[in-house]
Amino acid sequence: MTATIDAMQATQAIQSTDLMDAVRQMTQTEQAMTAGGVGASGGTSSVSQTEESSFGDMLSGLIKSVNDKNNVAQVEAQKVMTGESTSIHQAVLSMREAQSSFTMMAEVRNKLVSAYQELMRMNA
Amino acid sequence: MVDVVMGTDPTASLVARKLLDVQALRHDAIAANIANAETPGYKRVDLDPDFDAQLKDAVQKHDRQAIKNLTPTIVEDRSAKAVRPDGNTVVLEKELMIDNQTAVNYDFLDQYLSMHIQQMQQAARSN
Amino acid sequence: MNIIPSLQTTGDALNAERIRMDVIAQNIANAQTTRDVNGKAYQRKVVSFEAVMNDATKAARGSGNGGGDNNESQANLKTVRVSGVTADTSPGERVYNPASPDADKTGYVEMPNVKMAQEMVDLITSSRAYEANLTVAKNGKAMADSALRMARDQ
Repeated sequence: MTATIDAMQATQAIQSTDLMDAVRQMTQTEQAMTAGGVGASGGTSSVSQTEESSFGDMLSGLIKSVNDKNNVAQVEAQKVMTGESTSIHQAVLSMREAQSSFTMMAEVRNKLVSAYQELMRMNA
Repeated sequence: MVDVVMGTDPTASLVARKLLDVQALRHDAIAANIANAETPGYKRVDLDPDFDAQLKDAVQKHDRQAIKNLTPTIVEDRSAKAVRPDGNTVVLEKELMIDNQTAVNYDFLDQYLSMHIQQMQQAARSN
Repeated sequence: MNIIPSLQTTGDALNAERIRMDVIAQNIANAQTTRDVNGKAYQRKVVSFEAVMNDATKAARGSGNGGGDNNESQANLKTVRVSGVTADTSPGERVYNPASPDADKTGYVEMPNVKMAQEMVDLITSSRAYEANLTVAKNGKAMADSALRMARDQ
């Protein structure tokens, strides 16, 4: 049960902290830019850049994780196919984990996309 | 981030995965025993009796690395007595009982791990 | 591919027991054969089994991978094979029947050394072993199915 709670808290974290904060800051940046012109954008662009890089980091971290799990799953499945491994449960668990990670990454991406769309609508 | 959610398996998950290996190995041992039920002089083999104690010890100490490092092995069953003049120690009923239990244990462990993975997926989707 | 655990070993055992049952059937069929192809009374045949290293262990050893716990386990998992079918040379019963073409000078005929009670006991034992191996194969498949179900659950 602790795993479920950990999982739920972790996903909440994306929503509440990183995502919404980042969107808020992006909104502020946009407002500052339209109000203050060049001067403001010079100052605040560094803020949006930091936000962007942490987003980028998080996303690339996710992608790398999914990639790694996929590779493990491939290797395990290969071992079963060549007869090198007889523990099918290992291969199956690796495949499920890879699948699970991918689903989670897709969810995060979806939230990012919808938050961005929300943002665009705000400025329309 | 995915690893934060997926990497910290609860100890029960780690134990379940190790026990899956154990059940598969034990089935192999029983298969060998039953195959040689009529071989003169054959001595039955089974899981190393120390394994259970080692597992319990590692779980009580919450030592995840120790659990991961455990290696179940198959050894000759020294406590088995000869049931025939030719020295064969295989009792068919006993072997079958162990094998049936093993198959059910394996199924249970699969169900548990399946549920565990499903819960994490649900947790990710529900937000 | 070796998805069902130990299926090779169980297959070997089913094969061995089937050979044994065939030989017992042959003994029973020839219980009254006083003249075999070699001109003498039929001699009952006996099947001998031996425990041998299984193919997985041979492969591991062959690839130079001789050490480690896992290989010790593998070495302890033996499969079975028929090491030979030999004739039981103990003498059969001698029955007085001077009318028989196979009677010797004193009018006695040597009967095959087949004892029905012994053959029946052997047949039942072999049959039980055969059934037990079928159960092992069934359980092995059930375990493989169980693992695969884990892959399917959404």
